[in-house]
Parts: sequence; structure tokens; C-alpha cells
Amino acid sequence: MMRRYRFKGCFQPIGKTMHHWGYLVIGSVVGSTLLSVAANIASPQGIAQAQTNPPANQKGSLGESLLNNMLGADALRPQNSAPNTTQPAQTAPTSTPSRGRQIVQATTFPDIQGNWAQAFIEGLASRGIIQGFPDGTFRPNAPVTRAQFAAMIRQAFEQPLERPATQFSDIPANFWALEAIQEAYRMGFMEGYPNNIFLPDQNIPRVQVLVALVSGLDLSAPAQTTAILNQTFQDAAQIPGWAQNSIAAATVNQMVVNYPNVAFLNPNQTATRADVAAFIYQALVSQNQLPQIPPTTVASRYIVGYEPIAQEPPPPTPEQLAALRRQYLLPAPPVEEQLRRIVRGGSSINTPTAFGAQTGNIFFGATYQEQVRFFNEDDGAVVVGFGVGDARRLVALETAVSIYDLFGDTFEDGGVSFKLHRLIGDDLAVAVGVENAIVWGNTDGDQSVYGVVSKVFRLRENPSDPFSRLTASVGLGGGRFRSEDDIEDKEGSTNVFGSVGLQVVEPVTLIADWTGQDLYLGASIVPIQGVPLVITPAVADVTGNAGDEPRFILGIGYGLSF
Amino acid sequence: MKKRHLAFQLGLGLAVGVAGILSMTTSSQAKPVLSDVTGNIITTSDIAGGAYAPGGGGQLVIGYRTSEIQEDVQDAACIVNERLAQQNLPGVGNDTSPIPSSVQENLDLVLTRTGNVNAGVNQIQNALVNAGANPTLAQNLATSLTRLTAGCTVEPDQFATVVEAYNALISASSFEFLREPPEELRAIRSVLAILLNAALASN
Repeated sequence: MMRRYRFKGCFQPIGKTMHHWGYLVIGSVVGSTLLSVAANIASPQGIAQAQTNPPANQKGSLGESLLNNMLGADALRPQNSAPNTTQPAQTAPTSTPSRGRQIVQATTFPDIQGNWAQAFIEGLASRGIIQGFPDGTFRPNAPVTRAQFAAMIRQAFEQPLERPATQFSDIPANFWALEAIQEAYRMGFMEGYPNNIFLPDQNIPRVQVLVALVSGLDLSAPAQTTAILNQTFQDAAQIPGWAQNSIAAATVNQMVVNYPNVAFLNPNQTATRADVAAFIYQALVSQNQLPQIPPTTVASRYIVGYEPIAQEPPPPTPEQLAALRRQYLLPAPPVEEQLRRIVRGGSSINTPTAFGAQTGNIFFGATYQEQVRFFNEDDGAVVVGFGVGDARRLVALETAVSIYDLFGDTFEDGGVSFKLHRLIGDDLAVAVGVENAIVWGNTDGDQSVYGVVSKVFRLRENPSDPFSRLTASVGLGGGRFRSEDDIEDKEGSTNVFGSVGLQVVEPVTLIADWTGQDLYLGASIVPIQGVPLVITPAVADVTGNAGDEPRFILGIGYGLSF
Repeated sequence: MKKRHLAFQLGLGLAVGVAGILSMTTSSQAKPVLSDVTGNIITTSDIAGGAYAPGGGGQLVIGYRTSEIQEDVQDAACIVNERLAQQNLPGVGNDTSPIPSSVQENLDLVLTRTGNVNAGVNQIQNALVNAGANPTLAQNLATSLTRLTAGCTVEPDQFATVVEAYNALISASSFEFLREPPEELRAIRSVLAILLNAALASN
């Protein structure tokens, strides 16, 4: 077992020795550059690639800077010539924390599909931390040399340089991983062996990888180291004593990944490229530089002490919230505001009100008396009329043509009546009229002159509400409005008449009507909502002041407006 | 003798008859008749009642655009009531998980029953509020649902009010509320979706 030493300051200062190395490196670089120029001449593609490369990293050496304009890292491989397919490509980082050179970067490889470490490898490859081989493979089960590991460390971490460089006797100045080894050493990740050797081509064991990562990241050993190791690893006894603290630190930081059995560390087993990828990935997770492997991936099964981090979902963007709301919002139903005409019942039965037809109004009506006054005979009459003028602006004249004695001398008896009316404000109206101003045939309807005032009392705002409207009319008239006695005595006089209608519900209005002679009680009904058809059943001569007994009468009217 | 007796009787009868006729004529002439105008008024537009009187006029109401829409919405309301009664109200779209029976039972109570449904309304309101909804908007939505589909009749103004209240609540809801909606919201959404699908299909 190879023992790893780490004694800060135990190496010689580079001073004089580095002069020789410096010449060697510069010579190597110049030589490589010349080779590169020759190669570029032979390979226009190489020139094109070099032209697209970013400027040299300021942290890199002169050689590294020049490398950026060359064919690639393979030019500095041990063979100093053709690319070595046994070494993974040393390619450029594509994002922090990686750095270095830029060539084509694969993020996955055909030979890791389904591999237990696929998530680790792809996670690092996508960030340019690890590379595949020039043939496009990754070779996850291949061993990793110390030099290769140093190259990976260099790509993965940017720890501060803790110490000066040292000179390992077994690493020539033109060694392909010289820069990486020096940087890994100076950051504190890697150490040399006694006698100032590095053994760059030695396969690195798993325990060394973990110790290197813990050392470079300056992770502290937990208390109860032995207990932790014994509880975690069934082969804890195989962990070298010098590595126990570091392995315990790696364990509590979830950096240890054991495949195929999470309970066996196999510390002295050569680390595969998959192992190293897993360790580095988990080390970067511990530094919050990479996301945790999702618990749904196979790789998570082999992380020692893996506990999925309950990740708080990122706050939704306004666009996401708006999109989610749109999923829930519903369209408005296909409804619309409609003007519903409210037709109220009438407010009188037998007497006129001050409201009437005006321009654009035509009305029709009919009456039926089950038994006319004083005679045990029924009778009917019809009327048609129209209005002219504007009662609200000035005055309107209503004209009605009535046909009496419908049952018998049909259309032989009739009369024409007029009502001049004006609407004052919204609810008050006055009117004067003449019933049967013109008569023909043998009608007993007297010519009656009258004046009347009507007012609507709005008891509730909504005209559809119960008891929302009360309409009262008071009039003074001659003719048929005279008292029974004056009619009997044939005395010309005037008399008071009036009516009250209370809209108890929208379609029904109860009416009390004093004709000047007797009381009529009835109801005005609008049977079809919104249709100006009004039916008025009533009982006439209720009190017996006129006539011989109460009689049933019925009226029906229809008012049109254009 | 008999001829004289017959003549007397005829004379007497004639006299009585004439007297009677005269009597009746006198009587009728003594009473004012006015039989042509003692029924419903037949000389003015008052026979047509309040057709031209103020105080009626028009009223703006919310109505379905067509009678066909109204019929289809009523049919859909019956479907909603049946499904709620059977407690198999479906989810909307990809939401296929069943809605708890207790939620459907309570919604059925609120949507269809007469009497005091305050407890049911409060249950819906509390569920929405506990899940993170705005209390006022939740109350508006829960209250507006009262008797929405009762008797398989959906009043258009109430329909519009419920959808408006629902959308107001959604528009003020958080991402978390909508990502994990309470069962009551899922049920309400389902009911409204059934009604709206019927209404819009006929539109």
C-alpha cells in the first residue's frame, strides 16, 4: 500500500532548480508551437479551431496560453506527438468552476448509458470537468492515474494556492500533466511520495482520492471517527490509519460513493474513472457548487448517507402564476343584459285616469257584463283607439271609438270619446275628456265631460317588487259621473269619481273604483310577463247605490307602442 | 152571455197588459240605465290598464342570449344534480382523481336544497380559506352558490355572478393554492364547467 505524505514545506524551494525546468518548459513550448504551426498549415481545420478559441486564461502558463492556439492537449501528452487515445482528452471547461482549454465537449458517452455513475459523469462532463477519450468513449471502469486525477482536480476546483510549487523528480518538464500536478499540489489536494517523487502514472486507490478531496477542501474530521467508520462501512478495518479522519470527514459530507455495495468502501481498490467522477461530483455538492443527485436516479443509491435534500421549489415567476391561473379561469356564461318591459296592471275599472295614449300608441279593448245594470241581460262592447302628441313634452290627445250593445245590435250603436292629457314629471298626470262626444245608433251612454288627476306613488325602487306601486286618481265629471239621484232626476251636475290601484305583485294590481254612483272592486292582471295584455275582472255595483245587485264584469285590453 | 163574458175578460186582460207594459215602461224610464258604460271602461285606453301609465317601463335584467342556451343549461343543471346525488362528480380536464363524497354531499346541499344552508356554505368557505384563499372572495363564491341548480333551473344572473366570483377568487389566488387546490374548489370548478360547456355549446 502506497503511503501518502503531506508535509507542508518539506519540499525544496524551487529557486535554482526551477531555472533548469524553466528552460526545459520554454524549450518544450517553443518546440510545440513550431510543431503546431506546421500542423496548422497542414490542417486548415486546426487553424479555424484555434481562431475560435477564447483568449488564454490569465492563470495559465505560457505553455497553456500557447496551447489554446494549438491542436489541443494531446499535443502535450507524454509522447509529444500524436494524440494518445489512452489518455482522456484534456478539454476546456464550459462553465465554472472549470477552466482551461476549449475543444469539442461531449456531455454524455455511449459507454455510460445505464451505468450506475451515469448521473455523476454526465453532471461533470456537462460542466467540462471531465472528458471522454478521443474515440468518444468514457471508459468508466478504467483506472485513473495520479496524473489524470490531478488533471481532473484542476478542472473541478479553484481552491486558493496554499504553497509554492515543488519539483517532483519523476515528472519531466514536458510532462503532459505537469501544470495540473503542480496546481493540485499547491491547492493542497495532492502530495508527493518520499524522495520527492510523484508517481504520476500510478493508479490511484479510492482511499487516496477521498483523502485528497478532503485535504484540498480543508474539511474537518468529525468526532467519533472510528464509530462513524465502523457503523458505515463493513470493511472499515481496511481503511489505513492515516486516512481514517479524512474518510470520516468525507463520509459525513456524503462524498463517499460505494458501488456496487454502499456498505463496502473498498478503500484500497484502484479507483475507476466512474469512482473518481462520483467522488468529485459529491465533493462539489458538499461545496454547494453542484446540485444534489436526484433521489430518483440510480446513482443516489450508492452515496453513503444519502439524504435527499428537501428542496424548496423556486418561487414561481409571474408568468408561471399567470399561466396557472389561466388554467383555472372560466369563460363568462353567454348571458347578456336585456331590457325587460314591465307592464303593470291598470289602476281603474270603470273610470278614466289621467294617463293615456300618445303618438305611437294604439290600443284595443273589450268588455263583458254578465248582467247589465237593472236588466238580467249580458252585454259586451269593444273599443279601438290611438294617441296623438307627446304628453310629457306638451299634451297628447287620445281618441277612442267604442261599439256598444255588441250582443244584439252589433256595430249599430257607438260613440267616439276624447281625452286630452299631460304628464307632469314622471308620476303625475292631468287630463280632461269627453266620453261619447260623438254617438251613433241608440246608445244609452251619456255624453260625459270630466277632468281627472292621477299620480303614481313609487313605494319601492324595483317595479317588480311586491307593493312597489300605488296609483290614485281623482276626477270630477258630469254625465255618467253624476250621482244616482241626479241621474234619476235628470239634473245636470258634476260629481267626484276616483280610483286606487295597488300593485301587490308585478302582474296583479288590486283596484277599488268609485264611479260617482257605486263602488267597483276588481283586479287588473297581466297574464304574460312583458306583454301589454291586461285582463280586469271585477265586481260592479258592490254597495248597491246603483243597480239592483253586484254584477260580474270583465275587461280585456291590449296596448301597442311603436 | 158567454160572448159578453169573453169580451169582458179580453178587455180586462188587455187593460191589465197595457197597464203592466206602461208600468214597466214607466219604471224603466224612471231608472237611469247607462247600461252601455257600466262595465269596464270602454271609452279610454284605461281598458288596457297600465300600458301607458308611468311606473312600469323597463328593467335591465340578465338573460341567456337564446332560449336554446337556457334549455341546455337547465339540462346540464339536472346532470349536475344527478351526479352530485350519486356523488360521482367528475374532475375537469386532466384532473381525474375522485372528489371526496363528503365534499360532493355538501355541495349538493348548497346547490339544490331549500331552507338554511348556511352550514354548507360555511364549510365551503372555510375549506377555501384554509387552503389559502382570500376570505372575502371565498365567502362571495360560497354564498353565490346557494340554490344555483335547484330544480334544474339556473338563473342567468346567478350563473354569471357565480362565475364572476369564482374567477375573482382564482385571479387573487396564489401559486400554491392553485397547485394544490382544495377539494371544494375542484368540485365547484367541475359544476361550473358542466354548466358552461352546455351553455357555450349552444352559443
